[in-house]
This record gives sequence, structure tokens and C-alpha cells, in this order.
Amino acid sequence: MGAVCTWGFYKLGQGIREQNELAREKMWSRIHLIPLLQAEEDRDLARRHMADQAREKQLTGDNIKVYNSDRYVRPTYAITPASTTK
Amino acid sequence: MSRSRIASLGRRRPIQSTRRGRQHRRHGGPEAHLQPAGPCGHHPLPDSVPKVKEVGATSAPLLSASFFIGARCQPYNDDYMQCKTENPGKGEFECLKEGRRVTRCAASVVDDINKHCLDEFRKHWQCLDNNNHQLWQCRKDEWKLNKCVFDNLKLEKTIPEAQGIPVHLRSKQIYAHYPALRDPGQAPFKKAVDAPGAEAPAL
Repeated sequence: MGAVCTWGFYKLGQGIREQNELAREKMWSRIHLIPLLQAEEDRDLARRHMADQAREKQLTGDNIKVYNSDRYVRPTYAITPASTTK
Repeated sequence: MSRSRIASLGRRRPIQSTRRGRQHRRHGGPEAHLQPAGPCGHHPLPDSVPKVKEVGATSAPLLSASFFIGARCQPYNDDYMQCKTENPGKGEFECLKEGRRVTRCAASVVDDINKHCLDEFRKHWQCLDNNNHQLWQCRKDEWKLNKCVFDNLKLEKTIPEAQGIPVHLRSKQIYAHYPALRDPGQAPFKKAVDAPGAEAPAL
């Protein structure tokens, strides 16, 4: 009985340690990818923002400051194409 | 595109407005001047921002290449993340340059892997795709890829702060469906598989 339990806990410990290492591997792979993904996302946000400002200027002749800060605020709504068929 | 078909699998493209003509006709009147790009068309970044081609790979190839991207692009990545940290709330615009460098560097890695190790790369990321992105199910393919990438590009996968034998070099993956990573009749490995720089196991 004792021997079986000891063996079982030993295997459990081994499994937990391996899981920790696999988690570490996954985290590092994501750490290496995050700047890449974020850069792509940022370019898209910047593009949308600039287009939005241009559109606003075209329509109203002026860019209204909506927020009392210079911080970039991610828009809640996005303008999407009316039709996505080619 | 020299990066082969992998890179273009299932990626979104900027959607071009194809309705310009019709909208012209529909609106006709005073709003017609709004139509140069169409209110809902694709607005590219202004010309003052240099163009960069997106990496365009899906999740499995990126996961497969992630440690090599990390090995070559760490300085660029760190630069970019530092820029983002130092510009809270406006990093989207301040860090465009650093972001382009990150993207170009990562694209160069994916390009090189595609050029030198396409078969191994494809095998590995397709294995990941078929196994729920569980890296431990695909070690055999990963070792071959790691060896090829090390031989050709001198990029090596390392997991920082790994305890004991790095998990990707263990010859027994206890969570895999087939934990013993050797073929029937093959002699057991030593305790760990050597790093790809030394000698990969004959599989």
C-alpha cells in the first residue's frame, strides 16, 4: 500500500514538473510572438484612426476633440464595408 | 510571393471597395465628393508611413517558428516593447517604426525557414494543427526542423530558465499520445536528446 502510494505521488510530481516546463515553453513562444502580432494590430489601428480622422474632416470640415486627453482611445465602433463581396 | 503558399493561407486581406461606381450613381448629388475612396472602402496608411508587408502566416506556422523568431529578433522585439511601455496611450503612432522593424525581422525568419527547411517546417506546423497546437505531440518533427534550422540559419531554440533538461529535448514526452519517441526496434535514447547544435537523434 505504502509503496503504491509512494510510486503514485512520485509519478504525480514528475507529471506536474513536466507540465510546468511545457507551460514555460508555451509562454516563451508567445512572448516571442507578441511584438509581431501587436505591431500588426497597431498598424491597423493607426490606419483606421487616420482614415477616420480624414473622413471626419471631409464630412464636418473639422476634427472634434472627443476626449479631454491626448491618449489614443481605441474606438468602440468600427466602420465596415457595406459589402464584402468582390 | 516568394514565401510560398504557407504564408498566404487563410489570411484576411484589406477589403477593397468595389462599389464605388454604384455608390456614385446612387448618391449622385452633393455627397459625391466623398467618394474618392468610398466611405467604407479601404483606406491605406498615408504615404508618409513606409509600407511594410505583413507576415501573413497563420497561428500554427507562427507557433512553429516562434522560438526562431525570438532567437533572431529579440533586440527588435525588446525595442518595440520598450517603446510601447514608454508611450502609454500613444504607442500605436509613436512606435510604428519599431513595429515595422519587428515585422520585417519576423518575416525574414519565416522567409528563410521557407527557403531552407520548407518540408520540415510544413511537417511540423501541420502536426501542430492536427494536435491542437500541443507542442509535445510533435517532437519528432520539431527535432528535424530544429536541426535543419540550426544547420542552415544558425538559429537555436532555447527556453530561458528551463529547469533540468529543456522540455523540448526530453526523449520521453509523458503527456504525448506516444510518449516514447522512437521507432519500433530502435535502441532507447540516452537520457536527453542532444541539442540540435550537436547531433539530432536518428529518427
